[in-house]
Amino acid sequence: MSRKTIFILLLVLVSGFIFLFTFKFKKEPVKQVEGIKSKVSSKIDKNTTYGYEFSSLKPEVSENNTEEVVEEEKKEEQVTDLPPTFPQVSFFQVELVDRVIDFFLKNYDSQRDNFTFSLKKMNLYFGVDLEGFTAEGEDVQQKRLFIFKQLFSTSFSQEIFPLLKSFVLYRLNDKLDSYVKENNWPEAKRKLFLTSLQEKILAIARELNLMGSKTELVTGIKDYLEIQKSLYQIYAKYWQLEEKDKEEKARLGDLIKKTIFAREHLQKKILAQLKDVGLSAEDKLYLGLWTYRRMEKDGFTSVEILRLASMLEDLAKSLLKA
Amino acid sequence: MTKVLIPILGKEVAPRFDLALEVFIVEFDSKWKVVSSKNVILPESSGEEMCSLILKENVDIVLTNGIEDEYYNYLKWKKVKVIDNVMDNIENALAFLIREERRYE
Repeated sequence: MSRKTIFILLLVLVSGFIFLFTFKFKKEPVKQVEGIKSKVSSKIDKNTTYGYEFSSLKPEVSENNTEEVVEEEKKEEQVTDLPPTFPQVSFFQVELVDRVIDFFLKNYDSQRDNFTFSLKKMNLYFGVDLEGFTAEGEDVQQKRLFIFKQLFSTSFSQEIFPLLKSFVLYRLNDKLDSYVKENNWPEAKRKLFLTSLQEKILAIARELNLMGSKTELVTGIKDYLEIQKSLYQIYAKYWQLEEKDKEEKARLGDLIKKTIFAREHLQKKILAQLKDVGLSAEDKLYLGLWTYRRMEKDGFTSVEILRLASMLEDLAKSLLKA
Repeated sequence: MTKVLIPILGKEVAPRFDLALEVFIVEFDSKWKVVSSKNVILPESSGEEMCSLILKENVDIVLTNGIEDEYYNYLKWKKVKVIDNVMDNIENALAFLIREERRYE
């Protein structure tokens, strides 16, 4: 072989290699382009996942997120499920809240959807022996005054009442749930109970508002009390008379009739001023006398009575959220 | 020991529990012999105050004439025995009580 022939053979081989390399390099990009084209031009199959395999990634990401969210929610639930703390006050104990709720439940007529207790009865059950209260003082009167001073104070309405309200609503919810189960009440009955209780508390608040703002009402109650006192005195004299004291008996009997008439007349006037309150006539008078005693005898002002009314309104409005 | 309270008006049992201004409290031993007795004058007539006094004095039995349902039920709830509609003088009322109580001994 001549040098020329060897050179030609080498040239052919080198160009053959170059051709082969060039072909292999160019073929793959062509395939990629074809692949992209086919994906773009083909119809979208909803059952096929295109592009990144999200199915393997997405659930992982979303599951992690859901778990975190659930955990956060659980934490939040745990926070809301925690019973509200009973306010640290010196004049009443935690048992009193349960006693009051039990009193409402026991004195509720579920057939007629109303409460059967009078305010006088309520005062008897909580105000006579002061069970559930921790009060300073030597006798019952002093202890009661101590309790009223705490109840009417600004610190009670601003600091203790919000905590107490949450606690009362929590306990009410709890006790009502058990009561509903025990008595097989439908859910509507539960709501009716709360609505009745709300209306009762609002009615008390309405009368306190009127007593705190209308001076003529306070004067009317004062006169009513004076007439009632004089009637007791006349009765006491009358009951002690002998059969032979006919003239005196007739005179006192006449006086008793006149005093009762005057009392009834005044009672009608007072009740007319309280017509929109929503309590029974007996309760209206009782609450009127109670409020008057707080103002006249215990020395509390109308501002303090109005503050108590506002707290009761606040509590009543929160009841249906329980 | 049994403690009895009677709302009184003069020497009689008071016609109304909540209007009485005076009470007679007497304590008996197990054989119904009087151990002690006292009269208490109330500052004003009030059913609530009367109930309060009854509880404070740890009274076992109340002998009274007319009494409102609310006071009656409250005292019963507080485990105080209430004998109502007693219309007589204090001596006769107590004699009646002792006679009745001895019947069940």
